[in-house]
Amino acid sequence: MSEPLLSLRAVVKRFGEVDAVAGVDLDVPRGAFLTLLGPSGSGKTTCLNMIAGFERPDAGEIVLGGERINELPPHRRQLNTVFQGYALFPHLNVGDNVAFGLRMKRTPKDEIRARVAEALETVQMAPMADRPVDKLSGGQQQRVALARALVNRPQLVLLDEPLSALDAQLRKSMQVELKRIQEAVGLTFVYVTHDQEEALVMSDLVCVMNAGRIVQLGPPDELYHRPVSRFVAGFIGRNNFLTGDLVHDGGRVYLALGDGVRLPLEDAAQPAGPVVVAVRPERLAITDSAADDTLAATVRGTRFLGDRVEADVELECGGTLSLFVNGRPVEAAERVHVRVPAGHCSILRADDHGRP
Amino acid sequence: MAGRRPRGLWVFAALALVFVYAPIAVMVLFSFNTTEIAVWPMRGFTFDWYGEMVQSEKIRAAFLLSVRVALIATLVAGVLGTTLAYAAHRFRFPGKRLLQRIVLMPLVVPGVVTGIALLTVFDQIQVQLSVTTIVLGHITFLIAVFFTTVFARLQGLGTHIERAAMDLGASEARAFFVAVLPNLRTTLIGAAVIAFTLSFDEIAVTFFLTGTQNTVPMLIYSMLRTGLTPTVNALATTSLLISLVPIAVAAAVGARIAREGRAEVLP
Repeated sequence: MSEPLLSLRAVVKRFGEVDAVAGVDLDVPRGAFLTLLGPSGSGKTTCLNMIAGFERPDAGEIVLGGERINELPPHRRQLNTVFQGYALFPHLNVGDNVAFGLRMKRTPKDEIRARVAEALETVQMAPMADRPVDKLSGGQQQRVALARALVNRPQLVLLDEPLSALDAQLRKSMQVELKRIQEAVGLTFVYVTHDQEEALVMSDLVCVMNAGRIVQLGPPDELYHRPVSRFVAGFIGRNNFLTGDLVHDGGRVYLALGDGVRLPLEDAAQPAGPVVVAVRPERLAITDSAADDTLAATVRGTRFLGDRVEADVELECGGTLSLFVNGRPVEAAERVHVRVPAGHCSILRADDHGRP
Repeated sequence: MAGRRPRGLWVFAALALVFVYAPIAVMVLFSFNTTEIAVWPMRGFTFDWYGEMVQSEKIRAAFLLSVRVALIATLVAGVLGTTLAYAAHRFRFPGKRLLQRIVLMPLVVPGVVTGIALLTVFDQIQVQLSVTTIVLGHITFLIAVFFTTVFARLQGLGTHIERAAMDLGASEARAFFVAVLPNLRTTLIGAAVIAFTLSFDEIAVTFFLTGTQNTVPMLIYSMLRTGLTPTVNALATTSLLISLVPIAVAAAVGARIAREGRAEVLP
């Protein structure tokens, strides 16, 4: 593997008594679209600010392109940022906003003109070059902010929740657009968001953060299918949780629920003890007959979602599950059996507090 | 939406306007009256009093002094007030809240108090009263004008654009000049107009701090001791015009900027 473009090594940032970032190690490969995902206060924005140079780490080091940049002021760093709320210059028109970075570096006029035109072309804003920025829609401002960063051909582009101000529909199309542009220009993107869906759609790598630490780092599908902690399992997509004790019996492994109910699991290497098992709603199925891998339950209610029907069931051994109904419809108060496929169960430690 | 317009409101509004503007109109009219004593109706129309005013060495000197004081005080207060506002906007420092509260004081404190206070200080450190002391006196309250208007505008702008400028290769100092200052243009013009007018009209503080020279308001005051002459009316009318010109200029600049689609709210 080639050397990562950006590395954070044991980075710590304290605000007063609070460890906003409590020791983060992260490698961002060249050309990757990496998302820092986490709830507010998880330290993702602080990480971004340290990479951009607006905050200085209290410990650890930040390395960009092989060079330690801890003490480098923001204007000397080979990176550009797309800010939350865009931060376009209100006194400049679209073209001058995009040209700003090149002018700061005293790029020749002809080159500025060509590169600004090219950048505006990339974000499909070429006809708008002479417009004042306050006459643009949110989506257009977003594109200008992106062009203003890309035009400098930085090693790294940082994006701080750039889509949060857009309405849901526009956000969806901009997600696709951002990924397309990132692949087209071949730059490395580090993207910050609290929106897990956004992270899954765009990223090559998602770095889930909680309480100032990295909880899990991996491609979106790995995070979705193999969460390493209850926090990740709950934060990414929807999930059901079954709490019980892991027991070994005759070379096989079970989850012991209440009332002596046992559910077979697959991973025999897990040590016995209290665990939480996560299983996605789409992996559960309703069956008519009981089996080893089914749990008896009563339907509490159903919801029509258009492309599918979702049902909530209450387990006889305690707890509730959400699942999607395919096959015959079910009704409230109906007694059913729910199949919990062992191969799709993630076994997590009960007391992980968000840590792997 | 055309609601019912209560007639009483119109009457009150008209009365208020008459109350404010009628005396000014009378003063302006009398400055063109041919007779030396103020009597109504006017006997005839003349520019003689304006001629007398222009030829008066004393009036010319006072006028030049007033303009000089107002320009210098506005300029210095503009730089200081803007710097303070930017510091209060960008940085955290001990006493910041106190600064935000006390910076308005000189605008609220009666000019007599400011005047006596400064006079006491100048006396203690044995500074001769001069044009400089007048300018210093005016700066104390003009800073407040710049601080409040610029601070409000900066708060509206946020700190994002400085960050964006730094991110795009501008040092911290350069970011202020290329990203922030251009967005303060309208605000600064507006504040400068107010400051210039306040300084040009100021009499209370000036009264205590003036040396041997008179500003226009001081001169008018001293001329009144020998009676209200049409020349005084002419001089007052001219002062009025001078106060109006910068406001008109500011309005024109504001309109031009609005046409360019870069509207900024005047303070």
